[in-house]
Amino acid sequence: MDLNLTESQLMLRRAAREFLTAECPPALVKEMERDPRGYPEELWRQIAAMGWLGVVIPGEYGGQDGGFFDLLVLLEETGRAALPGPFFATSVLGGLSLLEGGSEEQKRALLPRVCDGNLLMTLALSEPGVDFGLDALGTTAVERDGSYVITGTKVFVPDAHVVELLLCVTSGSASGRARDGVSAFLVEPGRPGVSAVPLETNLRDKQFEVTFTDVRVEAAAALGSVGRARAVLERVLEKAMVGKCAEMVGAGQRVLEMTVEYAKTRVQFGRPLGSFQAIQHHCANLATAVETAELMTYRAGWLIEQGRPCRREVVQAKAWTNEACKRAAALGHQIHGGMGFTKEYDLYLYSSRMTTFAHLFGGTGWCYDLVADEIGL
Amino acid sequence: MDFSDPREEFRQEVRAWLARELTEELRREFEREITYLRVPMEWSPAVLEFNRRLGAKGWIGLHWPKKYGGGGGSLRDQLVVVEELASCYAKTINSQALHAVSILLVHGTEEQKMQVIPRVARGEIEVALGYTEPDAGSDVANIQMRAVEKDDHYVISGQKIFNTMAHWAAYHWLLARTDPAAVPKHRGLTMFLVDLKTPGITVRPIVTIDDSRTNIVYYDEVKVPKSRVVGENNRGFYVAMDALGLERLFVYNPYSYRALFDEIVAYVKTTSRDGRSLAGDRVVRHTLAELDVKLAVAKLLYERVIWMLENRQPVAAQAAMFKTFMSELGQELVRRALEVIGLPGLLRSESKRAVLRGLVAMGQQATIFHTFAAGGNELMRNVIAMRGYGLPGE
Repeated sequence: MDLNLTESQLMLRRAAREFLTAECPPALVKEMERDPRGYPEELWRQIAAMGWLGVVIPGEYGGQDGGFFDLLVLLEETGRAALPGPFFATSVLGGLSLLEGGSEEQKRALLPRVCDGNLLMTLALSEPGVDFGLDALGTTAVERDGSYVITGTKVFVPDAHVVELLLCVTSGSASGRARDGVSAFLVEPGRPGVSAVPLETNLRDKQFEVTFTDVRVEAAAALGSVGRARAVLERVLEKAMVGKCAEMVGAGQRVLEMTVEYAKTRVQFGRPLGSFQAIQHHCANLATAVETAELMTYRAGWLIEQGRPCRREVVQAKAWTNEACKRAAALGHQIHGGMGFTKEYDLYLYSSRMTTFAHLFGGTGWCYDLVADEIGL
Repeated sequence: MDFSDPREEFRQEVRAWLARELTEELRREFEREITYLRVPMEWSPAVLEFNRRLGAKGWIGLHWPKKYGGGGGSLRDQLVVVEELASCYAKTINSQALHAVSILLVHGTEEQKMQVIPRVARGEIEVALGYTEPDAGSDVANIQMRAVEKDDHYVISGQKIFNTMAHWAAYHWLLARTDPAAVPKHRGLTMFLVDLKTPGITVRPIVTIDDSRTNIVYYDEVKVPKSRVVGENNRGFYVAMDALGLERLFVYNPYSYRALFDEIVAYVKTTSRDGRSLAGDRVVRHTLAELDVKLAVAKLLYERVIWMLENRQPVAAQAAMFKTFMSELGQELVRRALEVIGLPGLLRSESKRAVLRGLVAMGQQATIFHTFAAGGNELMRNVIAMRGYGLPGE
């Protein structure tokens, strides 16, 4: 085992932390909760200029040629800063899908624009009744006169109000709910038949319900080829799960730091809170949760970067990070007491992301089902 | 970042050797006698002989210097042996000596080292820990057993309790009070390496609820030469604390729980309850998935301690985190396996309807002590908070 980051990964982390501390302070994150767009255009430009959007994309497509772990380093920092905006949707859901499954033509046309921040993308996967996964999708793409007609409803589509392209995942059969024939189509949100309405969440992140009513698309709009996107999407979703874990770990580290600091400085009964064993034990449990989530995330990320098969390790990591972060968020609030419950304080920015992300891209029950399959049950 | 196992080749070698040397009878005896850190009333000749063969192979002290009969290898190498043994529910039976040896290597005199370490490495002798007393459990600093300096020796009197292995060990790794007036109390303790055959020592058994054995050890004016002091006079507490991270890796090994988990999964795949296949039951599937995830977490905590030790970093907080997590997971594994298996899980190994050779039933009692032994988990959490995160003491 070696838990050290490389020199360049450490530099990337340091640079990202410095930048986000300066340009994405908690006050900005709170302000953006009420902003219709949800992020400042200027911040997006700066992030694009630093090359973050193409960190794992090869240089020939305008990216930085980095490894998957570089992306995790960044996501840990964006999670730590509670960065608002379409960074995850564009760089992970959009960029990685194009990279894994796009045709050469699609990659040449689109990836450079993802990298320079001009093409915003997102993924339309979840449906009412299908939180995650590719096995029970009801949205269909039916061939008609050489093109395809998409019909269905997608929910929890992030950032649909600002993207130029939605990647809509469909089932192949006319009746839907089929295991094979999964496709992913690149669809402009302005195309006839596409409508998006916001979904209100506690996080005030920009989630949308997107309805596709007889939306006609060409076969060339499919990621790769029609009906053969399953393997590609499985790989992308594995990376997205671990990426989500990294964001949660980043937020968890922030909660741990804030809570330990609070326990050291807050005085009650004439002594620091942190000198009471009950509080120490809460802190120890909080630290264990965050440190173990980090270890599980790093292991899965390392396996992905090595190109080794790691389905079991990925779902293990998401399941554990979900549960650890729910526990860590609750303990952080318990130790902070009333102060941590106010909007004025910053704790909720991180704790609410931890408890919300625990349900996105694979809730614990979904992960356990997959682990059980992998064990052979 | 690297999560690979660079010892894969050596692991295969150990596995192949164990497949040959660890007979079915030996496996059953180890299972019956020492799973869940239990200790038998006595070792059978076959087990003693196996331990010596393990020593002759050089696989008890691979990480000790060759000069003292060790292999001159790394801790990671030795742990491969420990892990592969644990996967068969077996272990080096003189494992308490590993604690003493790791301290002797730092604080022992040349004479002490030569006397003890080569024989431990050959698998011949055990060194029993002598820390706990009726009034000094997790509160080690409160040790009362009195050692009075007289001419060229000390005269030691008092009582130790829960000194597992003292009935079989050649030496007693004894922490005793040399300065009753010391403030704070832990500065008045001295470490001794006592020959357990010395006149005045009496070892009496205590039978524990898992049908295992531990001991009370009485000292009645026992004369111990000054040459048996380990480290400096009145510095015994610090000497003892130098090893506590390492010991936990050998004692609470995640590999035996992984082996047990795999057996539980295999059982579930072929078993029905209430007319339904267990493997198809969503509650059962999620229970086992959750345990699988937690076992993976425990193994990473374990590997992290080893990695930090190899890099000479302090591991007090990380070892405490591993010990706490592993011991609580062990109890949970047994408790939830019993929920999954139902009544047959309660049957002991000698029962004709026993499942998994009675291993789960055995764990019901035997895992109880893991969370309070070797540093209670409450103390471990204080260590994580104070040593790991700088929270203030009282």
